[in-house]
Amino acid sequence: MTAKVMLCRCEDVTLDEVDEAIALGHTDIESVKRYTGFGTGWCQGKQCVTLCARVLAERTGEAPTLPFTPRPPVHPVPLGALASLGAHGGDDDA
Amino acid sequence: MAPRRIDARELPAGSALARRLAQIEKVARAVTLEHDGTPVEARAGEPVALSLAAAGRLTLARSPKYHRPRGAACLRGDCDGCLVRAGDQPGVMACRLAADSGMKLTSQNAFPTAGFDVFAVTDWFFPKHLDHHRLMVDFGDAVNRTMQVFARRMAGSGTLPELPTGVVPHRTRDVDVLVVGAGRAGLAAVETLAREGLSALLVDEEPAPGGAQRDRVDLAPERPTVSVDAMFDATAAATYANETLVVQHGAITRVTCRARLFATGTRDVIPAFARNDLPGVVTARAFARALTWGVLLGERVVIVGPAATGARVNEVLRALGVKTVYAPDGEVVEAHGATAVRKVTVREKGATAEHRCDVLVCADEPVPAYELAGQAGAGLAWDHDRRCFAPRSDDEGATERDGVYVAGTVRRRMSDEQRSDDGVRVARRIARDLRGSR
Repeated sequence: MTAKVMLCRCEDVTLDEVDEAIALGHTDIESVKRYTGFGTGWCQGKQCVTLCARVLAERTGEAPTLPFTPRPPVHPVPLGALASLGAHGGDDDA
Repeated sequence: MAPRRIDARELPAGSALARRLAQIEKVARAVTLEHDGTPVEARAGEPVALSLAAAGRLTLARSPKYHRPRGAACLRGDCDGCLVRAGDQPGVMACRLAADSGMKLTSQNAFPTAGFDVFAVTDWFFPKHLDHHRLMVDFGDAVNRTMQVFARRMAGSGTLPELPTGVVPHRTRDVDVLVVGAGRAGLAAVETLAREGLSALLVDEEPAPGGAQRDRVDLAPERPTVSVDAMFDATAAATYANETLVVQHGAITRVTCRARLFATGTRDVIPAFARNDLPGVVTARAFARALTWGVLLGERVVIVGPAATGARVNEVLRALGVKTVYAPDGEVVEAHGATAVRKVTVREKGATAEHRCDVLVCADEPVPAYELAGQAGAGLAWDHDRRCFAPRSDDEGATERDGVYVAGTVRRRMSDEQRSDDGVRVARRIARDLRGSR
């Protein structure tokens, strides 16, 4: 396979892509996420936030802005389990 | 040269790992799984990702855009590497799935198989990157719609079950303190909370307590006792307001509590270098975890990075007679290989060298697993030394959000003893705060 530097494995976001985002003026983590889609895959940023923040720190010479809030679920949850949280699913519903 | 199983007799008698493996071998039960139609021999209870690796099946899926091969990289549920379809359930992490007789596993997002995928041509067609966002907006509505259909076909996350699975009822629990993470800090904390007369629920993703110790190839097996209520194999999947959703075996428990303590430890990160996503590129703790299950992920191993796990793994490999290149002060420039790592370029002390290998072990210092604490409202700060984010807390683990605490290595680097001490310290603070709020 080609010699891409993968910053976000889940969404196939490369270093080249993040550099392009930075060149276009996206120098905070949230904007880079919105431009490239990094951090929106299976791991929800567990692997890629650190890598992207390090690239931003190197390129801008400043501490990176705070990351986006890690979204639930931390791991994938079956929809059948989530469905029970509705009106009639649980043992605590009157 | 391929991954293989090792047994206790190959290691120095009485060594920590030999004792671990002897224990596993004593109770091992052989089972047969099926992966993409091929039978795979396994041991009941071991992570399926390791059963497959031991059978030489490293490539388990394809990535969404470029269809690059994907294989297990962290073995701790922190990456996308080992997703499989298990039975009719898509998107199952094979590293968190215990092997059992008759399991049917299929690779996802690959045409026709993960080993050979015709769509890998996208990887060559877009050698730097494919900006699908721009392709979708720059060429009008019709192109956009076509691209959407194409993207969905290309980037599936497996096929849905044929039949609805039905609603799985949830349970509820109410405790004084929810403790997430059963490593040294979490275990010490729940003991202290019990002594302080508080009810606690301990939750951990692993099947047994021990935390980071479970992957230590230099420590004899031990199973810490847990005297409080505990849920293992259970993920604290979401936490908000005063409620935390814990998912265990596909069912949710809604936990309400007065305080939440996150002793979630650290994660491993594979650094940025060319082809850092090749199957066979793994974290040091992943390699160590495989060893503790008696699986050697490769016969020619390059270990790069300063983390202690790298040195420990290197020592075990030398004892096994496995050829290693160990570069604690080095950095990886590039990994090479078509579908699995075959060679790696390493820069160390100003010199660059190429090493043939079938596994590259990245022994970078782990980073705080801050996600849950962050979700709960703890503030984060950039740690300049470690170049990562960490939750902000005072000396006693209190964060800026009332009722949210952190303990152990999620806060900062700590020795084994410091982790226990920290658990005690933070638990005492929680007890004090809860008494004050009564």
